[in-house]
Amino acid sequence: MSVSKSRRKLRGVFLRHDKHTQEMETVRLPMPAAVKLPMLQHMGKPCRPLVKKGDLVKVGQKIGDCDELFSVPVHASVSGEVAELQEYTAVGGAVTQAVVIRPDGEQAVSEEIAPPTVTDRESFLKAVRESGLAGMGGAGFPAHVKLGYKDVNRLDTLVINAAECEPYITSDYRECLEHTADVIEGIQAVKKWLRIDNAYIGVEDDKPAAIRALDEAAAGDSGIQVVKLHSKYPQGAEKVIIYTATGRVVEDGKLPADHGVLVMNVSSVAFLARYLKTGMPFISRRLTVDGPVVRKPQNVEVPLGTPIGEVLRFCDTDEEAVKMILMGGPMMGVCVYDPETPVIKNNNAVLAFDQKNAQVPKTTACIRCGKCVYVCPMNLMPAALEKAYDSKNAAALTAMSVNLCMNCGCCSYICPAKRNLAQKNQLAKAYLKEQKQK
Amino acid sequence: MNRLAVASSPHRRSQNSTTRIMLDVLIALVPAFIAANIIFGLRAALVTLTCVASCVLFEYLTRKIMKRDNTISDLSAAVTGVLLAYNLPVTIPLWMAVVGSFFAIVVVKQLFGGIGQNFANPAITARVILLVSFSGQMTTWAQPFFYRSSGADVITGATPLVQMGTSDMPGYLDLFLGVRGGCLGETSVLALLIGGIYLVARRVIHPVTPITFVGTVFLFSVIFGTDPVAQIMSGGLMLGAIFMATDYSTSPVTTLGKIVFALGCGTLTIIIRQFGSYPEGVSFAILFMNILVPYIDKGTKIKPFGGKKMRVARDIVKPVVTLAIIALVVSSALVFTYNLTKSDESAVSEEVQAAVNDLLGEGGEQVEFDAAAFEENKLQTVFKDASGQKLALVVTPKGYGGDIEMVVAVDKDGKITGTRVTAQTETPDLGSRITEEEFQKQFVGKIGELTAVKNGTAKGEGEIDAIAGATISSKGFTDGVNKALAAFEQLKGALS
Repeated sequence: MSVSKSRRKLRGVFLRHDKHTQEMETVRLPMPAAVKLPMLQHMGKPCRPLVKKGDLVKVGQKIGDCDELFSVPVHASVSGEVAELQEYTAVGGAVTQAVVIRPDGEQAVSEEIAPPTVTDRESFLKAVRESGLAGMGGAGFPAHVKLGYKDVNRLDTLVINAAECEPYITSDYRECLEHTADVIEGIQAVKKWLRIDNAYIGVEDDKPAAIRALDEAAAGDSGIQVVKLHSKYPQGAEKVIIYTATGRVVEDGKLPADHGVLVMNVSSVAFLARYLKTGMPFISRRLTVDGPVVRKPQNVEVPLGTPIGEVLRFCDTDEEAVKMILMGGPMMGVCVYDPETPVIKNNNAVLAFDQKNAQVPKTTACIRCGKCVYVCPMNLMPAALEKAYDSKNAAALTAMSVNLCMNCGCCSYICPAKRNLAQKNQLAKAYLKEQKQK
Repeated sequence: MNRLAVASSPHRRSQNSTTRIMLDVLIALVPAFIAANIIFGLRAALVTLTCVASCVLFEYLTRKIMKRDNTISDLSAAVTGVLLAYNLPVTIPLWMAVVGSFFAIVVVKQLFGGIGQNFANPAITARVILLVSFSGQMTTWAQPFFYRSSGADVITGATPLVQMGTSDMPGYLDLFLGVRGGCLGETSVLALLIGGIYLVARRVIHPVTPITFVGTVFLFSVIFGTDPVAQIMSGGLMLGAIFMATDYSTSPVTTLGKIVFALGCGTLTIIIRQFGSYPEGVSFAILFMNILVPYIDKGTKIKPFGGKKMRVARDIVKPVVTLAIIALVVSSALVFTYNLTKSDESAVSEEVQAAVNDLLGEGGEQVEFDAAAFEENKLQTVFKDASGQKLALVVTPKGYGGDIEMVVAVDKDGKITGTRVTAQTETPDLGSRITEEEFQKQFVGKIGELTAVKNGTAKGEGEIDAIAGATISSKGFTDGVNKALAAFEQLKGALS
C-alpha cells in the first residue's frame, strides 16, 4: 500500500534534530563487569527476586516475578553468578530490590528458552507477559496489560509509533532499518491475535529511508499503512500520533483503547516478533548515546542492567566535562544523578551534557505573551495553570484539565521568561491526586 | 566524573527571551523614530530620550526601593519610554514627559507588580493622565517641518482628525508618509507599518490584533459616512493598533480573545471620534478594553484537546452576554451624553432662550426665514427684540471638537451688541474659553467681517486676538460671528 500523508496538525514546536547517529549501524557493547537488574523497570508493581546470592544464572533466565497484573517478569541479561541482592533507589524515587550479576562471559542460554506456543488471544497475552516486555518508547507501560484490553471487540486500529520526535534519539529509526521484517511480523501477530483490521505506522517525514523500507516490507499486506507525519515535536506523543494518524481524539480520562486504538512503539512490536520466533525474553536493548561531550556518538545494543557510565565510556565520552546525564531525550528525559544507574527496559537514549548545556536558565516574570498556549498540543493554558497551582486552586486546575498534560515540555521550551511550566503541571497533577485521596 | 546536575525536563530551551522580545519591539520602533525626527525635527529625539531615560530610572529606583530584582535589563521600561514619547506632541515641556514616565512606570507598572502584572498599558495610561491634566500642551500640535521655517503661526496646527472634511485636510500621500500634525511618533503610517511587519515576521505580535482593530475602524467609518482611508491613517490608530493593543500584559491571550479585544478597540475608537468631545479616541478605547481583558480571557478560553465539551450556557453564553451588556451600557452612555450636548434643531433650547432674553431683553419674538437659503450660514433661529431694533441670530459654526452653538445679537446698524455660546464641545480649559467674556468682549461694537489671529498679534478693526493654544476654536467662533453678520444683511428688513 502506498504511503499516506497526514494533514492533521496539532500545536507543537520545531526543534533542531541533532540526529547524528542516524546513519550508524548498531554496535554491541562489550560485556560489562557487572549488571544490576532492578526488580521494577516499568510502570506498575515491582517483582520479587527468584534468585539469591551465589546462584548461577543463564541468559534469559527469569530472576524476578510478581503475581500482580500490573507487572512483568525480569530476566537475566547475562550468564554468571548473583553477586548480591541490594536495595536500589530508582531515579523516580521508588525503592526496590536489584539483582547484581557478575558475568562469566560464557553467555550460556538458559534451558527455559523456547518459542512460546500461541494458539489464541489468551496464550498470546500470556506469551507477551512472559517476554518481559514493557513499552520501549519511554513510558514503560506493561505490554500485556495494554494488549489485554478487556473489550476486545472494540479494538479496530493499531498505531505503531515510529515518530521518534525527540532530538538526538535514533534507536527506533535504526530498528525500522535494521529489523524491518520484524516490525511487520510483529504488527501482523498483534493484528491476528487481537483481531484488529487496520494498522498504521506513523513516521515523521524527515526519515524518508525508514518510510521507504517499511512501505516496501508492508507491500503485501493491505491492512498495514505507513503514514508520513509532520516533523514537529511532540509527534510521537500517544494522543498526538493517534490523532495525526487516525483522526481520533482521545477524551480526557479515557484510554486510547476506549476509542478502539492501541498504540505500540515500533521497537516493542519488533521485539515481540523476535520473541515469538525465538522465545528469548527482553534482556537487551538499543540505546542512542549522544550529546555534546560524547566524542563517538552511536547506537549501542546494551544488556539490561549495564551501568550508564560504562555505556558512556564505551562511546568515548569526555568524562571530565560531563555535568548532566539524561536517560531519554532532551525534552522529556530524566536526569541521572549517579553514573552507576543501570540501563532499564524503557531507556531509549543516554545523553551527556557539559556545564554549558546543563545550565538551568534564570526564571523571570511571566509577560503573558501566550506562546505557551500556542505550542501546547493539548490546547492547555500553561501560564494560567501555573498561577492556579501557585495559589493551590484545585477547582481551577481541574476546570482547565491539567491532567491532560503529558509533560512534553513545549511550554517550558518556548517560554521567553524561562518559566518551568511543564514541571509546574506535573506538580499540579500530583497535588490534585493528593487532594483526591484526602 | 563530576558531581552531576539534575533538573526538571525539558533540558533544552528556545532562544526566546523577554529581553529579545523587547529588543525586537525597540527595533520595530526605529523607523517611526527616524520619521519623527525628519517631520518634527530633532526635538523628537530629545523627547524620546527624556522618556526612555526617566522610565528606566524610575524602574530602577522603584525596584530598588521595593527590594526586588532589578528588571531594567529586560528593556521593557525602555519600550514604555519610547511608546510614551511617541504619544506626546513634540512641543511637550520635558518635565511633563518626566511626569508621564513616572505615572507609566511607578504607578501603572510597578505598583501593580511590575512586568506582566499591570492591568493597563503604562504608556497609554500616562498619555491619558497627561491629556486630562495638561490639555493645552497635550493638544498643541506642531506643523510638519515647522522647525525649518520661522513664521509666527507655525507651532499650532490641527491634527487631520479635526480637519476631517475641511479643505485643510492633508492628502492621502501626506497622511501615509506622516506629513501632518500629531503626536511625534504616530504620524508616519509607512514607518509604523514597517515596524509592524517586522514584529509579525519575528512572531512577536499576532497580526490579528492590528488587522481587526484597523479593519473595524475602516468599516465603521464607511457606515458613519466619513472618509475611511483618512480615518485609518489619522490620529494614533496605527501606533495604537500595532504597538499598544498588542501589549502582552494588557491584551487577551487566545486568538479569539485578541479578535474580541481589537473589535472593541476599533468600535470605541470610532464612536469616540464621531460622537465624543475629544477628536481622538484610540488611547481611551485601548485603555477601556485593557480593563475588560480579564473578562475577555475568561470568555475566550480554548477547549483542551480531548477535554470536556464546553458547557454552552456557562462557558460561552454568559461571558458573551456580560461583554455585550458592558458594551451596551458604554455605548448608551456615550449616545446619551452626545444627545445631551447636541443642539435640538426643531425647538429652541432653554440655553438659547436664556441667551436671547439676555441679549434682546424679554418679549422678543422669532423671525421666520427660509432655512434653505441660509444653509451655508448654519443659521438655526432668528429672534427680534420687542422694539424691533435688534436681531439675535443662532448659528452653529464648526469648532475644534464639534459644532459650536452660539447667539450673535446685531443692532439695525449692523453693529454687534453681544454674543453668547449656548452649547460647545471644545477642549476643556482651552477651546472652551470661547465662552468667557474676556474673549467675547472683543466682538462687541464691531461692524463687518472679522478675522481671528494668533494671540497677542491683533491689530486694527477687523482683527480678533485668538485664545492662546485654541486658535481653531477662536477661528470657529469668529466664523460664527461672520456667518451671523452675513445672514443679518439679508434679514435686517425684519427690523422696523
